[in-house]
Amino acid sequence: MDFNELQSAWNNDHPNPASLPNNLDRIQSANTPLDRIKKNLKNEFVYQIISIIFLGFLPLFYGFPAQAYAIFYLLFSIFVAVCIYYLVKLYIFYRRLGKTTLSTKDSLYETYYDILLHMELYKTFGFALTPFVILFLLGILYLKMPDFFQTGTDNHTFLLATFSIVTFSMLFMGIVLEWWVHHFYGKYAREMRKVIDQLKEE
Amino acid sequence: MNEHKGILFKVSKMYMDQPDDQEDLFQEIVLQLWKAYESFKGESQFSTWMYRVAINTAFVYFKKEKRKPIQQAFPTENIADQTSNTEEQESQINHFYRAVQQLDKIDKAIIFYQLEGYSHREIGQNLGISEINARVKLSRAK
Repeated sequence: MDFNELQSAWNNDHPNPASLPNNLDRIQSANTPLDRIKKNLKNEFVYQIISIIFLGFLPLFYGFPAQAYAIFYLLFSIFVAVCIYYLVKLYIFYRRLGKTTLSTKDSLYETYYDILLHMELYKTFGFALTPFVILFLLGILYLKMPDFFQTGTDNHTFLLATFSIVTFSMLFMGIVLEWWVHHFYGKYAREMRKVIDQLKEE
Repeated sequence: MNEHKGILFKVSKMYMDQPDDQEDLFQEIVLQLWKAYESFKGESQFSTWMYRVAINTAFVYFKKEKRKPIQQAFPTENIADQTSNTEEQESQINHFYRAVQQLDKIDKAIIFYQLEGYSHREIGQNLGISEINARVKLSRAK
């Protein structure tokens, strides 16, 4: 096809799409990486807040002994403080994504690196919770097998159990976080990366 | 925006092969334009700014997952055989929209700007690439 002929055909092509929507709220925007990331973040906020509230009632559900309440709620307060710190940062990012416009190549770059930065922030959030997972597992062990703890810390079996819990928790959190961040956020960031790569000089 | 909606729909047709997807992309572009309007400072022509938002939206737009693309046979007949001039042009443009689906997202944008009469320098400026890169990509896409 000759390009001049194509130019003429292009100029004479006047598609007539449906009228512009007069109510933008009705447009269900869910097909850009930003929309998908926003949707996933929103779901996470809801589930994480429900989980935090649920964890707060754990001593009641599991019938913790009275002397364990103080230590549990002390740790729970620190846990909530850590969660609030990270959730607020992620919420600010969520709000910023809603206002992001794709009017320039620079905005594509900025948004892509903002997403990468917050993916890393999300991972550090998960790692910051790892000590609580370890303490939680040790607490369960203590509740189920109190005699085991009374044998003393010089007991090899006790040290091995503690080491196993720590190692398992760190590995579990590391692997799950990598998968989680990739599945819910990373693959959308990669779509943006592809476009940015195509814009590179040849 | 109403004045330019035909051009915006052409962008949708270049980036999506299915009518439903084209309509969705068109709506997404409109939404992004409304969102971005506050950032329009009047430093460039409104149409230039609008094309930039439309193209960048098309760059990052996904097809809806539930839809399966229909494989269309690629016509190989000589389109010059068409009888009337209008029909011939319609056939050419349809042929073009199908052919352009084979290109990557950046090449589609370059072809779009070229057809809208932008120079290599302007294409480069709009896409944030050098004039030489725009020229190389355009000749390869052609």
